[in-house]
Parts: sequence; C-alpha cells; structure tokens
Amino acid sequence: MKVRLQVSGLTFYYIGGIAFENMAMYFESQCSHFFGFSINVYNQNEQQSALMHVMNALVAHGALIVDMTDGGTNFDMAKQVAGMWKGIQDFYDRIDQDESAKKSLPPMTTVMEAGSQTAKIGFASADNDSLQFLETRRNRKTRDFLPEEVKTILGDSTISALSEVFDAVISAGKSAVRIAVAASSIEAGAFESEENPEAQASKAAALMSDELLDDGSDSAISSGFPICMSPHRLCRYSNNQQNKAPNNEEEEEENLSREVFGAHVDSTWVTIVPVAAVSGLEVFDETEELWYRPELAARKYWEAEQTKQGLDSTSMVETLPGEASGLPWHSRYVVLMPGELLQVASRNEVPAAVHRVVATKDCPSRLSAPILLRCRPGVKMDVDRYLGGTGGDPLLEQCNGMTIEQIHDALQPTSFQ
Amino acid sequence: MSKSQFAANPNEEIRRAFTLYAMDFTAKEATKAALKQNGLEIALLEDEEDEGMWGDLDSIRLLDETTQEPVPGAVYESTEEAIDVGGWKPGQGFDFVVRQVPAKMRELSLDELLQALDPDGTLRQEAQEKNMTLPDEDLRSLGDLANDSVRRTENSPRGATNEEEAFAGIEGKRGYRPIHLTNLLAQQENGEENSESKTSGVGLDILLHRRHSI
Repeated sequence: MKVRLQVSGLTFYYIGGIAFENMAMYFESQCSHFFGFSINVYNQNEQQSALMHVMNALVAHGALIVDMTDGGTNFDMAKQVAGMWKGIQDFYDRIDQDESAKKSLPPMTTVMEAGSQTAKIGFASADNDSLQFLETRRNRKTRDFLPEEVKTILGDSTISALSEVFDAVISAGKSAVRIAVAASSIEAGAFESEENPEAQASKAAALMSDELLDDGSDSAISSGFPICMSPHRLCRYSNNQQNKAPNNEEEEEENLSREVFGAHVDSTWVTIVPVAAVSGLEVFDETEELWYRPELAARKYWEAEQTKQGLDSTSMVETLPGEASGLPWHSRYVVLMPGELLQVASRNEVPAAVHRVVATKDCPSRLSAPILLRCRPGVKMDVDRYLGGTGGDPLLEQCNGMTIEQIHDALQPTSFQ
Repeated sequence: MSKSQFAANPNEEIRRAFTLYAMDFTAKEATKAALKQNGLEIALLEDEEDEGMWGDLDSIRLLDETTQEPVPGAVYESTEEAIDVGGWKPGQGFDFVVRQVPAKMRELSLDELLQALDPDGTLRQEAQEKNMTLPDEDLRSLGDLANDSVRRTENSPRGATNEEEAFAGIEGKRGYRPIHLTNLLAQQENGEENSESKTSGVGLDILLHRRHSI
C-alpha cells in the first residue's frame, strides 16, 4: 500500500511502512535494494545510476549540473562555450565603453512570428543597470539569431558559438525532461495495460520531448512560426545599487550582497544555464531548505578533480592536451533547473525550481546566458500519447487537449488573471 | 503468582520477564496517550527507552477484571510488586502514577495545525472560494499550481550572502555532483532501444520491477 502526503511542497511517500521524503529518495532506496540482490550488469548500473542522479538532483535540490566534457574527455563543446563567453564579455565591454553602441541596441519588443504575445527580443536594463538582458531567438530556417542587430554586435564567431551551444545544451535539457517524465509516468502506473509499460513510458516521453519542446529546429509542427519560442538570453548582473551608509554590521552585509533578480519560477520545461565564472545563481533546495549555488558546487567539484589529478586548481583554467591556451574552468558545465511545464508533465513530482540571482558589491559582474526551453507554438498537449493517460491527475485532465498557449494562460496565478 | 513461583521454573522466569515487559509497555503507551492529550510528547534518550527507565511508576492499583473498578485496598509501589504480589496479568487494567517522565511540547502535524487554526472549516471554505490551495491539499488545477509557485517563491528567504557563506551542496552526495553528458544522453538512446526491443531492458525497467516487488 502506498499513501501520499503533501507537506509544504515536499511529498512524503509511505511505501511498505517506510516514509520517503521524495521520489528521488525512493528511487535511491529501490536501487540499493536491487543491488543487494547482486545483479551486477555494468550497463544496468550505469543507466540506473544516471536515472537516480537526474531525479535526485531535480526533485530534491532543484538543479542538475551537467559536465559537457564527460569528465574532461571531450572539450569540443567547452571550446564553443568559451567562445560564447568571450563574445558576451566583448559585447558588454563594448556597450560600457561606447554609449552610442548601447543606444543602437533595439529595445525589447514582441516578436509575433514566435507564436506568442509574450515572446520578446531586444535589449533591456533595470535597477541602475544591475540587470541587463539581451534577449535573442533563433530563426528556424536561417538558424540566425534575432534581433538582426546581434550579427553586428556579437560578430560571426560568437553567433556561431551561440548556435552550437544552443543546440548542445537544448539536447541535454530535452534528455533530462524525457527521463523525468518517463520516470514519473512509470511511478504513476501509466501504460500498465500495455506490454512492457516502462518501455512505452520511455518511448512516449521521447515523443513528447521531440514534439512539444521547442529546440529551434525547423520542424513541420512549427512551420507557421519561423521564430523559436525558447529564448537564449545574454545577461549581465551587477550590484550597482546606491546604498545608504550602513547603520550597523547587518546593514553593511545587506548592502554588499543582494538579490538582483528576485525569487521566481520559470514557465519552462527546463531552464538551462551555462555555469558562469562568477557564482550568483541560487536555487531553493527543497531538501536542505537553503539557497543552493550550483555554480559554486560545480567550481568546488572542478577544483577537487584538478587536485586529484595533480593539476593546478587555483588557476581557474582548464589545460587542454597539446594546446597552448586553456579554457575557463566553467566552460564545461551547465545547470538545468525544472520549470512549471515539467512539474505538470511529471504529475507534480518534479517541482518547478524557485531560483534567483544574487550579486555582491565590488565583485565582478556575473555574465549569464540561460536558455529557457519552452514549447513549440501551436501544438496541443495529448496526455494519452505522451503520458499514458491522466490517471485521474486533475492538472493533466485540465491541460489535455489544450494548446500550449492556453496552458500558459491557465498557469497564471489568481492575482494576475 | 509469587516471585518464588516464577523462580522455581525457568519457563516461569521467562514468563515473569515477559509480564514485566508487558506491564511496563502498557504503562508507557498509556503515558504517551495522556501526554498527547495535553499537547506533550515523550522525549527519551536512547538508554531511557529501556524497560523501567522512562519514568518512575508508583501507586499502582489493579482493576477488577469484571467491574473494571480498582481492587479495594491494594496499592503497589512498583510493577514488580504488582505482578509478584498482586498477580497482574497482561490484559488486566490498572491505574498508576508516573513521575519524572522526560517530555517536550509536541510538534503538531500539519493536519492538526490546520484543524487547530480552523476548527469549523470556515477558512478552508474561504480559501476554496478564492481558488487558494492549503498546504495539505493536492493541486487541483493549473491555477492552483501557479498559486503554489507564488507561495513557494514568497516563502523562500530574502536575505543574501556572499560566496564564502553560500551553500554549495553536500560533498559526495549524488544529486549535487555533475553528471556526464553522455550518461544523460545514453538514457535516451537506451530508452529507444527498450521501446524497440520489448525485452525487459535496462534503466527504467529496473525501477518498475522493484516497485512491483514491494
């Protein structure tokens, strides 16, 4: 017998008399139990380990860190990421030094060709330039990025790197979504009337990620909408607030570090954040009930690995075999955070990550280049096809047959409707 | 049954030990229930969990098994005396006084807390009319999910720290470590193999098989 109890955003499962704090913990337990029976097929262990890793990270901690180099064995993508960072740094340096370049940037405007009134492109800044965003979107056919001005602003090599990075990290994001949705469908008993339900759940989740998630490809499904719904946002966060003189130590500390982009969740499947040189992204860790900095975790992990291999962990540069120049340490990592659409499709098992950005005064600004993986425009949620039926889940019953735009509208809090 | 009767026979010794345990356990459970009624809960250290260590029992009065009234006159100062002299048997009721029970204020469960705050359900009704979800309720609509996201966001702490004091996960714990890209992608490739092969396969299959065996 299994009983479920929802307490303050955490779900406790009582299975066989044992309480599991969340599904990831349940999976861990099942795996240990399974291995206890000495079934030891290498590939099974590898697959099982990856599945549990994904679920534990997403469910319990709100963020999954991915090493795009596979532990330092293939730096091709890291080189592209490094190229992207250099281009973004050059862009912000340029607008700092050249006021006319800044003024020439197109303001944030709606791009209806993406299929939604909420889809924007352009440049915006706020809070005394503490937040600066250059919102870009891919044209499916030409694979260029909008707004048009970015070609001039960023240059061909940066655009090329952006494009490579966009494809690679979206692929990682789609895989994570697929794994989480398949695992949740199996846990909910979907497809149980079919032969080999677990394979069916896996296949259906793959179908869903291909048909619903907008990876910017020129798919027939989105042919009426030439611009990708998933933006690639090039940001800079700084603590530029003009503070009053502090009256005490507490106020002094508050002045030093503050939220520059307040806590929120994203209306995405996942938000993919290439790890920045300066840590500042914080995800609310539902297990520890603390703000967790995955970028700092990635750096500590990298330093420890460097030390293990007898390499210099203080240089913050990745040494590449046979190459004179290295790469910034962070070029190899991206962070995936679940959004509200994944929460719905996972039957509320993977909560959308509450996250924010913190900046510290007198520290370098944090450059960031998140990709918000959203839905293809015009497609409908087919719960039977993708999730094996609603299973009585009221959220899935509501969104079954809805277009993604309708789901987006229904996902507005009461106070905004 | 007297102590000498127990001692005369090893089986009786075992029976006495069992009876002592049963009486102590019964008194402990009754004490827990009484504490709960008063908003308290027993708070024992590991060595206080042992028989006879969780409190000092005295003034034990056995109840007549037919009338359930205290047997007149007989008051025992320990469980040993109630058994050896009074002949208590498991299942027989008894009154007692217990002192020195380590206890603390009981933490209310979420259900109890909500019940205490809203005994007649007025606030719950009002929340439903405003499409709000209480913490003990499942999400019923996409609007509920959106409101829940707002609640979780607003409940997160506001203060910020510098990097030195920030939480960077727990070293060695799986969910905080980076996963290799190929391991993430391999799940997908493997899943496709599964869907083609209709064999038990790997990965997600393992979970399902274990789940069924619980």
